[in-house]
Amino acid sequence: MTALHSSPASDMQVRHRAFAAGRPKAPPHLSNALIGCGFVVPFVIAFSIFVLAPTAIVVVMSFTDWKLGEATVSFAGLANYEQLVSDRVPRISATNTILYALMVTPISVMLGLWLAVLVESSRLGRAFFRSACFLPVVSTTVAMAIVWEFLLHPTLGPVNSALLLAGLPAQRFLSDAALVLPTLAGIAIWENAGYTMVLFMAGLKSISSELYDAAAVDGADRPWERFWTVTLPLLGPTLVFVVIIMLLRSFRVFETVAALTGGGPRRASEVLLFTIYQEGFLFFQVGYASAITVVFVLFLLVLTLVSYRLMDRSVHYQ
Amino acid sequence: MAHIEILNLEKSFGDTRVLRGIDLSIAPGEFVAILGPSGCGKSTLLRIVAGLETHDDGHVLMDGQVVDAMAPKQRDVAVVFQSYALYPHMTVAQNLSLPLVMRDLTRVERLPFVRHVSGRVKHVRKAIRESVERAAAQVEIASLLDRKPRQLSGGQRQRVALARALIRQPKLFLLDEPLSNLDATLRASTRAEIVQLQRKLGTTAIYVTHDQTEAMTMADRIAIMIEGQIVQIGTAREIYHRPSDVRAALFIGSPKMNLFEGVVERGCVRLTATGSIVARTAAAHDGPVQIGIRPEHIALAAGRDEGVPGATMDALPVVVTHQEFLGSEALTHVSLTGAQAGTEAVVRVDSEAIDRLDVGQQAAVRFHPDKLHVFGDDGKRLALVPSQEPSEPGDAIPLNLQASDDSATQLAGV
Repeated sequence: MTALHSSPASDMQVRHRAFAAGRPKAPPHLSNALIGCGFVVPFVIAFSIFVLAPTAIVVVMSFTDWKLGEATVSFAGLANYEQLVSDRVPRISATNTILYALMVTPISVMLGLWLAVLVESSRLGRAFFRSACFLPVVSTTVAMAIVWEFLLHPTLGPVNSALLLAGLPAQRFLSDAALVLPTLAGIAIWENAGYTMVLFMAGLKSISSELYDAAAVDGADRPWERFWTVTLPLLGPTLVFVVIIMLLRSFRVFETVAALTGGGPRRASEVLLFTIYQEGFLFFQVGYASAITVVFVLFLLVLTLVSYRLMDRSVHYQ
Repeated sequence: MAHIEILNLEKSFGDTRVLRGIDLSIAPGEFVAILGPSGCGKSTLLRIVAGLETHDDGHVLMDGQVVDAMAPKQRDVAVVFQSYALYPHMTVAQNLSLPLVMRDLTRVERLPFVRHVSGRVKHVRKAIRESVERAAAQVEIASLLDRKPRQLSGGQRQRVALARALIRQPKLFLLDEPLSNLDATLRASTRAEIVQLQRKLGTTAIYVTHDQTEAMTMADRIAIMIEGQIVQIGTAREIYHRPSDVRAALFIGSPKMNLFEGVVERGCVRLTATGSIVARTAAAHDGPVQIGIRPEHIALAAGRDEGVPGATMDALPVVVTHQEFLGSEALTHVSLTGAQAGTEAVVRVDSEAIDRLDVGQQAAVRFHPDKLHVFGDDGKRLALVPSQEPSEPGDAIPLNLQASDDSATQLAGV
């Protein structure tokens, strides 16, 4: 008992002495550095396990001929990349993806900005419109895709019924090669506009109302003048962020294609992620799929950097 | 230069009445400060005059013309905002030229390439550039024209805001606490510069502030605004020496006026703490009053029985609670000890005088009888009757023992 009683006390003394003795040896900036490391380490571990390692594995696999489920794997050099250059499908899907992104990004951004300014300036029902516009963002894309499939059905869909009522010919939105990509883009815009709207609303909140007052006194009091003089320039940083986020989101299109068209008709809606999925998980060509992924990731990286640089130059940061 | 008239202005935000019947007339070229605590409605008043806010009732007139329905740009006013409200994405030159660009060019002419096509636009742009340089020179920021606001110090931003206000040569300057974000030294020098600039331009100015020093040093007249009402309008001297309302009395003067409880009985103002009569009033109603005296109109003597000769018996017994040495003067905080114990007062004393007193020491104070202010139950100033002959000699005390001596240090007993 006495030993038990005495040991914590002596422990404390030892620790206290060690602490007191150790303190002059460790300068404050060193202990600060240690604390800093303590904060960073969990991130570094998680980032390594979930991002860095899988990326490295994909890069390595892109140089092999591994097929999903096969026990043997051998080095294939640049064979996968050569196939990528000569193959027709990745080229089609890359073109489709770029076209899709070019439709989705600008319209989502402009529509979101318009909605944000509109909702923010209306006194009535601001909360309602905000929630209504944000609803597509929080709902599951695949579930919404099914709703869209019904809406756009060639014979049963209400959209075609409306067209017929208006005296216009019915359209096969999802099975017409010329219409399928714009249709998918339309669904994405419907989904993304609420998202960009919320981001722009946050940006609008940060604009001081005194600037609008100053603009009104200086003579810029019409809606367009206010928009060009104050709103748009001060939303610059938000705009850069939103455009890049939208580019990345639209390049990553997959769910609607997988749920609605399966890349058809005749590969008219085949997009890069869908090609990667098909090659890797339907044809088991993991090596080849990895090579496409690597090129895709590099492309996104370059795209992000270039667009950021281009836009950043003309943007004001406070 | 504009003659501004504000007639019975009313404004409510929801259930809160922000402005309660404001009446104010400002002569052409006059510099009027609207002084009041935060939340008194002074900024709202300024915004209504600018046209940035609508009002519920009443009128704003500029040169006799009702401008209630006019947009800010039609009123030809310029505003200097508290945060300066410079456009952060524009250079100083662009900030200054915006009011002129908006006024002098049409929507099409404002487009960036038009200046290369139209001779008129080129000419106007050149004139604007010259105005910008002139305005910048006036406030000494000519070397900063190509900088963005974020590259400027607080004082420089403030100058840009001033230049943007004066570049259009408006009829009226509206300044909303323009100095509150500057440090003390800069504030003092900018104060003088703004006044000089305003005098030189001769433009009518309304200056909103909560800082009595700014209002007193800059303005021709001060309007004290409290809880949505203007309680007094006048020069700094008038308000300091003859405050018409206890709230105005408390707001002007630092440290603020001391207040003591009193009562009016049949025309005699009696100090509750001593029971003695300190003044006579013509006020008809009997009832409680507040007796005010500025810190410099109180004499302080160490010990209950020392002090100004001939007046010891009526001195208010106090205890020294705190002393502040300010260099040229000193402030002694005291607390009454007899009846009304705990009532605090501040006395302005000679800076050497504080060495003669210690915290905790017993002392006595006396008021300068001609410097008393008496406020009725409603806070309004009561007119006092010259105090030579109290109405009830048996009850009263001689008030002006040293009346023959003009020296402010010679004070009479209470």
